Amino acid sequence: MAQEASSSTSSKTISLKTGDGEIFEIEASAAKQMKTVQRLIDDLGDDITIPLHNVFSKELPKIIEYYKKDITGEITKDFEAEFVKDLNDDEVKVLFLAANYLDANKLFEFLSQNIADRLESKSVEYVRKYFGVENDFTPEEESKLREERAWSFRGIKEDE
Amino acid sequence: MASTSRNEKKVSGANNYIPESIVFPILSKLPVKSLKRFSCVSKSWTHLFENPVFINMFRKNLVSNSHSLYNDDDDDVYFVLHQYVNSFRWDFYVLCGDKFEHKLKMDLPSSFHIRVIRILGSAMNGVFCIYDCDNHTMAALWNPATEEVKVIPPGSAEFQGHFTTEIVLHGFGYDHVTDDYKLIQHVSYITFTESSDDIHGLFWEIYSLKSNSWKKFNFDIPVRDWITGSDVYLNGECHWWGKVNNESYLVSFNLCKEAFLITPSPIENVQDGDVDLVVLYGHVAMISNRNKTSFQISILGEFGVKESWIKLFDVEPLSGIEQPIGTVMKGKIFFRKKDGELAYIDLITGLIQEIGIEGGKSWCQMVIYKKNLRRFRAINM
Repeated sequence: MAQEASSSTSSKTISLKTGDGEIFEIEASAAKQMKTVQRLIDDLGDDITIPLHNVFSKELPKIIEYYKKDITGEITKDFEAEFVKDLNDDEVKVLFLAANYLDANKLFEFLSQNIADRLESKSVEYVRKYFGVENDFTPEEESKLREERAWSFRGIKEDE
Repeated sequence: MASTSRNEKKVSGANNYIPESIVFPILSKLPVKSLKRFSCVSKSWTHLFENPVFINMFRKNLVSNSHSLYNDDDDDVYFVLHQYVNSFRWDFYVLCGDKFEHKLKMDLPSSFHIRVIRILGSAMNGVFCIYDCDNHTMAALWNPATEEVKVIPPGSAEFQGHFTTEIVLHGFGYDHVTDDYKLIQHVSYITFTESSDDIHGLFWEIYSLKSNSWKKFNFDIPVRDWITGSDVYLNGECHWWGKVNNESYLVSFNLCKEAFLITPSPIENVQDGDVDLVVLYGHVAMISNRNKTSFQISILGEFGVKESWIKLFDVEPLSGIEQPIGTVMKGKIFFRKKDGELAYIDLITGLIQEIGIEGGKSWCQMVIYKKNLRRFRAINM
């Protein structure tokens, strides 16, 4: 993509390099929405390729797509639903972590709500695995707690 | 937001530990039932609701996700203050203005001759149920915008010389399934003897505007523990605070199904008048005050489940607050202060704001009202 000759920042594009070495372009106004990127631009200048060690070529285009819509004010509930429709729970998580790293607040909030919606009816084991949390209960402690909270397990399919 | 500086290598999915600062924004958007189940995930997750950082996020999400019955920008939604003036006068005022500083008197229908008036519950589609607080035998539905008044006919209670008939109205609500307004009341006959008060002949009755009649039921529902206690309406159900065998319960009566559910109180030894109910962010909430010095506001996560009460706020004892007259709109709860002044607490900012009006002790009520020009009598068959 060729850069605009104009000196106005709104039409300028920034080059971003992912952790696995691919380069993507993003409009400067969209880059502003990702505070981490903006900070790097402030430090390194907007003419060099900004390195993003913790974001990869699988996620970045999707994030760029989101903010492209955001700067034109076109983000609707329908767009957001479509955006996550074909993503599985792990893919959304990776995107969410990338949004966190990039300090991209709007996307972060949207994805955290989407993950919450996905996890609402999930089992305890699923959530443990999902967040990489170790079960530090003894079997007795856990079964006692589950009994106390039996009401919250109603209608939930437990794994294993 | 914390950065994942911990993760040097590529984030590959489920096996990487994710720090709390990132997990909380997700968890705080979950409903109470899910959160209580996930307390079994690990020991630190068991104490989520005791973590002030988490509760703060959880509260903020409740606010932003709550689908208010009334829009914030709705011009036709007001607060109506009902106030004791003297033993023969009870006035209704509509409060308007950003800080509710304008007070417009509402004229009661001239056909209404009740002395000790009280509002039952809240206004339902612009219709109030007002009743005689002295003996609950006189009640009427009133739509101030259309000036309609419908006097409720008497129920099945009998009045005879050898016993005292006690009627207590418990709830006023709207049945959206049948497009009907309903009332529920409890009747008992008391014979006072030298040794005891003998209570007999208990029954409940439900009034339907559509049929303009009362229907008797033999439910075993806890009665109100406090005659002037608050009752609220939410999603087709009337809720009140009841007591049975010295145990306190939230009673939830479903007007459509005509069935009820009870939820035990989260606190022990509730005294008369200790608890007020409000609707907060789409949940039934209780305002409990011990010793009238400090208040706690808790929402109920799941009806019927005692441990799904979640404490959201602690109101400072030094604020001079005496008595909630508990109406909530846009996160503001109304109280009467010790000096008689009415004020509201903004739950989002924590600030207390006086509204420049004095409230009468014990009889002050504040309800949310939305003007409705649809005649309720039109639904009478």
